[in-house]
Amino acid sequence: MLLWAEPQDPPDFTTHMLPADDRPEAAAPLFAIVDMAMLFFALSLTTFFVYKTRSRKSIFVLSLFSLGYFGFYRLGCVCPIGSIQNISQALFDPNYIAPLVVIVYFALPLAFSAIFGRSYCASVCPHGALQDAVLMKPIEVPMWLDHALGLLPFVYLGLGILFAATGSAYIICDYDPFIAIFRLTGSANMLGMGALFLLAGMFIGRPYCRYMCPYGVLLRMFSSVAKWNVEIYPDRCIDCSLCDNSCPFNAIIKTTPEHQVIKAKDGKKQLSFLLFLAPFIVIGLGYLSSLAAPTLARGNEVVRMAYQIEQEELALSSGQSLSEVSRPEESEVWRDRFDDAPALFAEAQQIIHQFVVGSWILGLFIGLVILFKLYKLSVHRVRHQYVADYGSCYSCGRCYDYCPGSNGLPDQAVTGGHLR
Amino acid sequence: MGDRLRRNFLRQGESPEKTSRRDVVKDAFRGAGVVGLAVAVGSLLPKGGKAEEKVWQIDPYKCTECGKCETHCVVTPSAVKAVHAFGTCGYCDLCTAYFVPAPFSLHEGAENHNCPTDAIKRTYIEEPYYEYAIIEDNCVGCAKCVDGCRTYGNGSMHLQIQHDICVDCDSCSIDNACPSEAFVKLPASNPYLFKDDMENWHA
Repeated sequence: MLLWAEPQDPPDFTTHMLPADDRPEAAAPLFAIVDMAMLFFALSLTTFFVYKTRSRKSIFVLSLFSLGYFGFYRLGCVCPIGSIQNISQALFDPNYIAPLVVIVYFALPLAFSAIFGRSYCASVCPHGALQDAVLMKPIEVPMWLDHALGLLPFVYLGLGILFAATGSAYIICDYDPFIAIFRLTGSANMLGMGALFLLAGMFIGRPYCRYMCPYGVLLRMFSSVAKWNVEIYPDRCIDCSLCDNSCPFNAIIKTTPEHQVIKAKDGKKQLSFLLFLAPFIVIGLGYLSSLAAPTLARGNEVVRMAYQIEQEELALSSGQSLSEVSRPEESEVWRDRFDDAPALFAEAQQIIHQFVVGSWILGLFIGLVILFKLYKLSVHRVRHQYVADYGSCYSCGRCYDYCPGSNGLPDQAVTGGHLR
Repeated sequence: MGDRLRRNFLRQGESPEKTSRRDVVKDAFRGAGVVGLAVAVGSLLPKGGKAEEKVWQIDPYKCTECGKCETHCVVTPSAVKAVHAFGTCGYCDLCTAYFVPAPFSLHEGAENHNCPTDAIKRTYIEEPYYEYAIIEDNCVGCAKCVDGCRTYGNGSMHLQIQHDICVDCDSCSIDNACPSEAFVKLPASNPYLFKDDMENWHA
């Protein structure tokens, strides 16, 4: 059925001229270049502040600037967190092309992270800046909870890639808690979630960054093997624990208390038990998550429609008419325009298959992550001094001023700007 | 590497000249990560560098005037506005986009308006023709006029995304809600689908 008649000509006027259409132009492509330059500039400046001037104040002021520019002025888009999805879709779907600016936003903070640690988190990311700005009275999250919640970003990253790679949805953008705040408008759910995160963020340091952010997972990986990091130098450390008190993000590994020192024999026992469990954890999670594939696939438009049409076809074959079935407008439009159930089912089947494969990979990935976490928890290294956790450290610079070994030392120039 | 060496020296009692195994592993992982990143970027960059930016637009031939453009846009009021493709307008005296069905009279009084926000301006041209222009500042994209014009008229009024307002989300929330897949991506240099624009027809 043709929805629209072909357009017809206007009447022949004696003198009147038709007005022109109103077509305001899209934002100039110049903005993309400015955005890329700003990102590079902000990353470089952060790195300078972290390593050279070592000033928490400068880092904080720059983070407020980033919050203003990347957040409120550019409305939080493009951002590296969301760019994960563009990159995954571009890698899996040959018809989708990721624009240059998105590729740069994805790669540049990671490249910086591989060299200098998480400069992006320190004072470039508007999400981090917003949470950092509202952090009033940090409470320490218990380690067991911190470890458990710390697994969430891996799951979120996996799901984000799965939905983007299958071309289904950009869930990382759709469920972003702060974007509604940057736009100063949004649905009640989005604004509510943003308010909740900010409220929690007053007492828990950067809850989104630590327990949600999927890009943080990648930054953490690169940062934990970075060329340089913010570190605590053992020769200067006097075990005063002031840095640990100043860090609201559990990013400083504590010294091991006497009673927690474990005998090597017990540690070996624990590790071999873990090794025995490993295949069960990994394959078990892969299998479990593959069971969720049909449910996850409902996040895809085509699959949703196929389920709907399947219901309707069932009703039709049992003698009901379409008008008796409750159906959404989507179904009416689909019947007007396509009305080809077998083709729809075939397409949906293909997408569900993609989801099954993807969920297996997702499950295996989560299994490996959990395994690695358990491994880290089972290797009891006895620490006599405080050590920075390179992966978790946001380079926020809070600990600089607290460290008594940090200031006024003659060879400051020799050892660069690291935390000493 | 001086700093790190010194740390190792102090922590593990190794000789300062020797690079620790930990550092070698770290270097290897970093190298692998950077190579992986470079491969991913390298495979996407040739296409992405050349590709023109694409922006959202509404295909007026697929739109069903469901009203979700008014309520689902992240911008308030919506970046979707009614537009008037004058080149296909009949210039009716009784415009069913402008007047409610069965109006009291063909008079510009508010009781006759179909548009809830007074966003259509009616101007007399010559007997018996009237011109109808959208006042964009008033329009909220509810598509009531589109429905009226399509039901009885030429369908010259339709919705378009105005790109000076649209923030061009990757994941357009109206697109997610649109029941008729009317949202399409167009090159940013020519981002409109007006019904009286022959070049863009059935694009």
